[in-house]
Amino acid sequence: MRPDIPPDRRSTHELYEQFRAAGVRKTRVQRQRQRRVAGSGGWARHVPGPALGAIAAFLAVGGGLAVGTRVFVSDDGSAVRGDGSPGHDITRAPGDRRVAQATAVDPEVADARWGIRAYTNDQGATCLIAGRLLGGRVGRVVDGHFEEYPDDAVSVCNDLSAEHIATVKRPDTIDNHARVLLFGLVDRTVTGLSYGPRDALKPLTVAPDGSYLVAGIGTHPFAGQVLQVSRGAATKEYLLQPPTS
Amino acid sequence: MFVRARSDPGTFGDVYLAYHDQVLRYLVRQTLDPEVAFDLMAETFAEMLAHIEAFRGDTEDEGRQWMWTIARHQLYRWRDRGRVERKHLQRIGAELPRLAPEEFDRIEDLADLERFRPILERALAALSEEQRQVLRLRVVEHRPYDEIGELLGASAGAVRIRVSRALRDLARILDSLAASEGLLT
Repeated sequence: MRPDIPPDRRSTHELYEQFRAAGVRKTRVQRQRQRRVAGSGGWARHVPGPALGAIAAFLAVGGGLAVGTRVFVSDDGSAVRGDGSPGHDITRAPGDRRVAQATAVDPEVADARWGIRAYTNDQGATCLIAGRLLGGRVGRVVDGHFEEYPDDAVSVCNDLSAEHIATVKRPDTIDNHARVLLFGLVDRTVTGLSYGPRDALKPLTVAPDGSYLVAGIGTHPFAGQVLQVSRGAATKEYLLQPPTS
Repeated sequence: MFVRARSDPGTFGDVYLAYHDQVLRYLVRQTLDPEVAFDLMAETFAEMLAHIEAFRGDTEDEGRQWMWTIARHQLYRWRDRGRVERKHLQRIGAELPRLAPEEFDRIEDLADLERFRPILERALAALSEEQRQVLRLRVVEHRPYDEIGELLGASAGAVRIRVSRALRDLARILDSLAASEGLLT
């Protein structure tokens, strides 16, 4: 397996990622300003000033805009549509792509963090992929360099309306050591989340946006463990992984 | 790379990758403090990115001159105020990562301070006893500012200023000694 980012370069690398991200944001703002100055669209003339400014500011900070019929506005202002198949990720939705609020510190490697990238497909399902978190981006480390996941990275998409929770397990590695990432989303009806052996459940922190993430050590860290979901007085258990023996 | 970053700030990361170690080496030789040098280096590149549209040059060499001017101004401000202002890092939405012990070692190795040591010793001999004492406590023994303050009966802030001014005076002496031997960058 390839080595991770050398420990004596982590901070300089993290700075690089932050400068890169800040530069991309700056470019986006410049292009938005240039488009406004060009002022060719009737759309720009008809939208009231403060609303236009708010939309431009929203796009400038890397957000997206889902308008009515779930058309996503991508970074260059063009419309992007999904492939229409329910429960599957679309091939590209950069405008809506965001880093979820739940993050996890690696249990063994100092200063390494895990995060989740999310977007909503045109079926209204939320699509998630987890990986290394660096400089506000989610990806993987290859040959000591961080690479953000491409737009078409395979994500798991879930509709929360039926079960109120989406749960994903994904194997990964860090410094040649195996990890399994347990992550997902809950809707507002979920009041508590915990995991572990049935007789020793631990609380699982849910971020304000409903996301959660924990990194387990080894290839089967959740063997024989359950995920318990509370919705008021009612609880429901999901077996995370069958016991190994 | 500077000209390209001016028209497309998304490529500024390439400027940082190409030059950050050079700037870091210069700053750690001037400050003798890896943590301060890293802080100043980060703020230097943050200032460059925040004002990339103000860069007027057309060549890589002019870009480097602009970079060194900003780095020197960051150093002078630190010497005067005893602290690094992170206003440009904040402006671009970046946070300063904390250095791990291995990174301290790498930065010290980068500065090749061992080769620098003979000149450093000559320059230190030209300082006052009080200045040598505060530099010994901070730079050689790596004591925290508040601990030095307790030893000397001063606040941590006053100690920071004493250290930065001692380093400023040391730098003036070093400049004249080291420039002739090409050891400053």
